[in-house]
Amino acid sequence: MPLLEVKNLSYSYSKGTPFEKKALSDISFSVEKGEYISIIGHTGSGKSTLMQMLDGLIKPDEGSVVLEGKDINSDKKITREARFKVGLCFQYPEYQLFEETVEKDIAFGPKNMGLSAAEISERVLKAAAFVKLDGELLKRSPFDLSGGQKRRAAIAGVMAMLPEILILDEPAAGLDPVGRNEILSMISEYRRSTGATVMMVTHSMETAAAVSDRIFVLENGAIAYTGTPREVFGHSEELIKMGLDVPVSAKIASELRSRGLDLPLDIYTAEGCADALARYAAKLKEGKRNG
Amino acid sequence: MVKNITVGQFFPGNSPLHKLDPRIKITVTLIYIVALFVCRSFLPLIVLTAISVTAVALSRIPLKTVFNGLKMVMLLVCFTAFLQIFYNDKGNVLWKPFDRFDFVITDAGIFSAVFITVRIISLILAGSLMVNTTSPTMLTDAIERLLSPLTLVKVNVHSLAMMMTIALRFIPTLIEEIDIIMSAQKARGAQLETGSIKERAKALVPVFIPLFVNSFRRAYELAFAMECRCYTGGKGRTRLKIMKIRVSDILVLVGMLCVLGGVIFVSVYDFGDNIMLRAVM
Amino acid sequence: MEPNALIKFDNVSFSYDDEDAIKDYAVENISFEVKKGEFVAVLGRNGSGKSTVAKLSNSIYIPSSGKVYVDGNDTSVTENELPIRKKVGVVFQNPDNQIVASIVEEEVAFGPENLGVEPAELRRRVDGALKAVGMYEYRRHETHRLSGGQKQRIAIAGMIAMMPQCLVLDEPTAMLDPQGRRDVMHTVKKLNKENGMSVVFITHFMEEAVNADKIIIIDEGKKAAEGTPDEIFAQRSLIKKCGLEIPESAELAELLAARGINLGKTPLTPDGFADAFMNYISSIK
Repeated sequence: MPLLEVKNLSYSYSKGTPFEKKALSDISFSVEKGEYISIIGHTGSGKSTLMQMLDGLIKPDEGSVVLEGKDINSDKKITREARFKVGLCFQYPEYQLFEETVEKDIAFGPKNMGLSAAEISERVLKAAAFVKLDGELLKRSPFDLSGGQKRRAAIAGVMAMLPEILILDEPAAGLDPVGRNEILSMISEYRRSTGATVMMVTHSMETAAAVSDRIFVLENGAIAYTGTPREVFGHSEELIKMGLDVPVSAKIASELRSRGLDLPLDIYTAEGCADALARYAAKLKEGKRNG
Repeated sequence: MVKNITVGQFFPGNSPLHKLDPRIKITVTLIYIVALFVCRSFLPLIVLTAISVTAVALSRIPLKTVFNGLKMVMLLVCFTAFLQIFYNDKGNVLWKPFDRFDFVITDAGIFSAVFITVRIISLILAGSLMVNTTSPTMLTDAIERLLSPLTLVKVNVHSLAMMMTIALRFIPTLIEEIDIIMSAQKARGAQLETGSIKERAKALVPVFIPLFVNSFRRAYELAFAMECRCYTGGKGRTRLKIMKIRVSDILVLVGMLCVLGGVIFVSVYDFGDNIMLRAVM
Repeated sequence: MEPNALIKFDNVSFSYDDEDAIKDYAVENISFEVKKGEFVAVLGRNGSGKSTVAKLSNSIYIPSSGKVYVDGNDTSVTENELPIRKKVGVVFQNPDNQIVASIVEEEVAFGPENLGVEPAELRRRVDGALKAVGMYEYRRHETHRLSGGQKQRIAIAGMIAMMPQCLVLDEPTAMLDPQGRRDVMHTVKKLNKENGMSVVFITHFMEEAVNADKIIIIDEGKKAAEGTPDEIFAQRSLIKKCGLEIPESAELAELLAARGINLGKTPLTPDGFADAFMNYISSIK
C-alpha cells in the first residue's frame, strides 16, 4: 500500500461567479514512504491547490486523497490527524510567525497535537536543530530575526510536528544562493533522519534535477509529465515549449541539438552534460584521425 | 473560503450605468434611498423597485452575482419580515392560531412584511449596483469632489479620499492574506472553526498578529513607493479621468428628483382607502 | 565627474540612526557612476546593503556622509528632491506593496498625476507606458488580479509614465516565477536598448547580470568589485566569498576544461556556451 494515494482529484475556484476557474482536473498519483518529489509548473497550474488538498485544507469537488489507506476527508477526526501527518509549509512562511519567542512559535504545532510539555520541548529542540537555530535565538522574538533566520524558524514550526510527508511551497523563494543551499540541505537532513517523504514545489530546475527521485510537471491543473529527472528532462524540448525552465545543461544540450549536434536526450546535469560533450568531441577527433 | 466573496466588487464594463458620472451616480443613489424610506404605499414602491430592476438589467452585471449579493442579507430580510408578520396586530385578523395567547396574523402584518422585504432588497440592489459599476478610484474621486466644499472648513478631503483609495485597493490583498495565514495555521493544527466563542477568539490570535505585522510592513513599503512617485499630497494633482457631466447625467438626476417628488406627494396626500396608495407602514 | 554620468555615488555611507526603523544593512564608502543609457547590475547576497543603494539614488535616503548626484544635482538638497525622483524611477521587490490604485491605467497615471500633468498628455503617457511594457490590453483590468510579473510590469509602466532617465529596480524579480522573471527582464532590456533608458538592476540572480554593461558587487555594505561581466565572473573565489554563484554556463565550461576541452573565453549564457562549443568543434574538424 502506498503512503499516499491521490485518485481523480478535481476542483474549481469561485464557483458560481464570473471568476470561476478550474484549478485541478482529474489528477491521480501515488507516493511511497521516503520519496523526494519535486513539483514544477507555472503559477496557476494548480500546484498550490493540490498541496492544500493533500493537507485536507481544501476539499476536492471530486476524487479522494487517501493517506495510509484512509480517505482524509471521510471525517473530521481523520482530517485533523492528516494535518499532523502531512506537514504543509506555505510560500514565505515567515509571514505567519506570531508568537512572542521563536521557541513558542515552533511549539505551536506540537501543542495543537496535544503532546505533553516534555514532548513539546523535545520536539522544539529537535526541529530547531534541523534548521540550525541555536539556544539564544530561540528566546528571541521571531520578528527580531534576519530574513533567512525567520524562514528557518517558520520551517522548524512545521518540522516540529514530525510529519511523515513534508510538503513545501518554494521554501527557498527570495533567498540568495547561500541561503537557498542551506534550506535545501536542512530539508534533506530532515528526510534522512526521519525517513519522511518530501514533496517540494520549486521553480529552480537545477534543484529539481539535483534532489528529487521523481518530478511531477503540472500544466493547466493536470499532470503533464511524471517520472525520474532523467525521464522528465528527456522532454526538455516540450517543457521549453510549455514556457517552463529546464536545467541550464538541458537547455544547452537542446540548443546544440538544434544546431545539428547528435547528443543524447537525457542530459540534465552539468556533469552529465560535460561528459556527453567530451565524448562527442572525442568521437569527432577519432573520426578525423581515421578518415 | 473568504476569497469567494464578491460583494462590493467592481465589475469593469461599458454599460450606461458604468458611463454615468460617478458624482451623479452617488447623488442619485442617495436620493433613491431617501425615496425608499419616504415611500409608504405600494404603488410608489413598485415604481422604485422597477427602477432598480431596470438598473440591474442595464448594468449587465451577471444575475448570479446579484443573487449571491442578496443571499448575504436574506437572513436579515427574513428576520424583519418574520417580526412584521407576528408582531403587527393592526388590521383585520386573518388567523388566530392559539386561543390562549393574544397572538394574531393580520392582513396589515403581511402587507408590511412584504413591503419591508421589497424595500430592503431594493436598497441592497441600489447600493451594490453603485459599487459594482464604479471603479474604486472613481468612487473615491467622486466623493472627494462632492465633499470638496468641506475644505473651506479645514477638512482634508484629499487625505480622506486617498485613505479610502488605498483601503479599497488593499481589501482584496488582505482578504487573500487572511486566507493564506488561516490555512497555514490550520495546517499546524489550529482549530479556527470549532470550540466555544472564547476559544475561537483565542484561536484567531495566530491569524491577526501576523496580519497586523504584515500590514504595517506593507504600509511602510507603500509609503516609500508613493514617495518615489512624487506624491506630496493633493496639491497640484491632476486626474487621468476627467469627470464631465453630460446631458444624460442631468436627465437621470432630474428624473430621480421627480421620482422623489412623486413619492413624497403620494405619501403626504390623502388618497382615502385605495389599496395601492394608502400607507402600509 | 564625467559629463555623461547620470547617477554618481561619491564615497557614500549610510546608517540608520532610528532604532525603530526596519533593519537594513547600511552602506559604507561606496563610489560608482551610472552613465546615460548604461545597464548596471548590482549584485549582493541578502542583507548586503544593495537595497539601500536604491533608496539612496532618488533622495528617499540622504547619505550620512558623501554625496549622491543625479544629473549633477545633489540629492541632499531638499529642493532637488522632486526633480530627482522624476529623473530616477525606483521599482521595488514586492509587487503588491507598491500598487496604489485598483485599476491598471489609474495605477500607471498615479505618478504623472502627482506631477500635475494635463489630462490629455496624461492619457498619452499612460497609453505609451502601458504599450512599452506590453500591458496595454490590460489597461482596464483590476490590479490585484494580475500575476506577479504583470504587476511588476505595471509598476515599471508607472515609472515610465513619469518619463525618467533612469530606472532603478530593487530585486524586481525576487518574488516572481520564471515566466514573470523572463517577462520583466525582457521589458527592462528592451527599455534599455530601444529607449536608451539607463538601468540599475539590483539582484542576486547571476543570469540577470550577465548581459549588463557593468556589474557592481556589494558585500557587507562595501563595494567588493566593479567591472564588465567577463571581468567579474573571472574572479571565481571573490564571487563565492560574497555568497554568490557563477552562472551555470561558466560552471559547465569549467567542467569541460577539466576534461581537456578549453572553450577560450568563459561563456556566461547558454547561447554563448553553444557558440563557444560550436567554435571549438569546427576548430577540430
